[in-house]
Amino acid sequence: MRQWRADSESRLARDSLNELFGRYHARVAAWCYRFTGDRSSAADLAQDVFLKAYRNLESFEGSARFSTWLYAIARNHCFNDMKSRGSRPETGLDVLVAEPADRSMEDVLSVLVARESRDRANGLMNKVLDETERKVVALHFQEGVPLDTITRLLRLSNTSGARAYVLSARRKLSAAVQRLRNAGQL
Amino acid sequence: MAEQGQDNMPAQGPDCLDYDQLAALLEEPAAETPARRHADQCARCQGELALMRSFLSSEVGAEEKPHVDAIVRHLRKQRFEAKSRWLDAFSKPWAWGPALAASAAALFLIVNTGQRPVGDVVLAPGSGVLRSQSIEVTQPDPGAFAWKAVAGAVRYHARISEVDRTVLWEGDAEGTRIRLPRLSITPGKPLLFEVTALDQSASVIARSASIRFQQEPAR
Repeated sequence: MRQWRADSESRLARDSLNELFGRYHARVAAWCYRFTGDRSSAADLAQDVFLKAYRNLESFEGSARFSTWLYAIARNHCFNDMKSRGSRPETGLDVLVAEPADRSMEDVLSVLVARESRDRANGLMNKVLDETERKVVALHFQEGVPLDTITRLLRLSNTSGARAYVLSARRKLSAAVQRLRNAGQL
Repeated sequence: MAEQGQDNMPAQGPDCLDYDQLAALLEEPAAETPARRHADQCARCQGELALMRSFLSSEVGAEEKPHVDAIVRHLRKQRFEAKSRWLDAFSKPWAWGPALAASAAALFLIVNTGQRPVGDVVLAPGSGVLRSQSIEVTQPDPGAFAWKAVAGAVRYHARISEVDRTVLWEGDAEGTRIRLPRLSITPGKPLLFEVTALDQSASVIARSASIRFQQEPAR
């Protein structure tokens, strides 16, 4: 009887664990696929995410949502994988449409950040960029997420995806920086 | 001086939100809280919110669906055995409630009993870890690459790129060998060779590591 109960408990615990993980299969699969754009590597990443979640179950304290905890594992694993593959922002001169009189986005941001406080740089971005431009710029220039990955993750449906937002952000920020310079505020 | 992140963009600031705070904002987007006020001003947190929203959303686009479904089928073959701490949770009478959701929720409300897991069983016997295959590549002569055949592959797609992943050339082969074209590049420039195996539906079933090489000087 004791052994029967132990076996039943074991099956229930196992089934509950796999049921819980199963509820997030599609979410993790979709996110990993959007991250890589490739089914095979996305499958590897997704499998790794659940393996990590299993191995670190003790770290889940129960006070936070399971979805948030699992997201943190997925996000960190995918980002680490991206960095280990040596992905770098495609931006700069090789991606941006050549406008000879214009500075690259990195120069614009360097001017902002090197000379201004982080708050002021954020303030300027909030003032001149729209919501999507801000997100794309932050993800690409801060986190190093490739533009095609951002396009998929943010479900951008416009032609050229995230690339178009980087270009428009650059134009707006360049103009704003120039205005500040002309006014002697930079 | 602003804290520098990658590419001279402001990195995470001291007020930037953690994952729990971001999740709370997604649940109650209209709440007027210090976290909301910070997120409204911080491009980094706005980007992180967008990423988390992408994960938590259950919507899958029509173009994504076949790939996501295939990955889910792959994941369903991965089965885990519960660790002993989790078994302890189910020794308590209230954990025998009828709803599976209640049982799963109970799992995560159990305070650490202090007992060590028995062993480190990861996968149920027989399930195995299914990973995409990697392709073993050799260079039989300076102008060609060869690789071991992959089960299920109907053709192979080869690519030469610069080290920053700029693609210089791509070509297909039905066999397990390909002769490289002569590229108009600076002598001695490091190049990367990669090959992927494709099945009948043109899905990638295996890929090689990036092989670093240089083009032989013209004779």
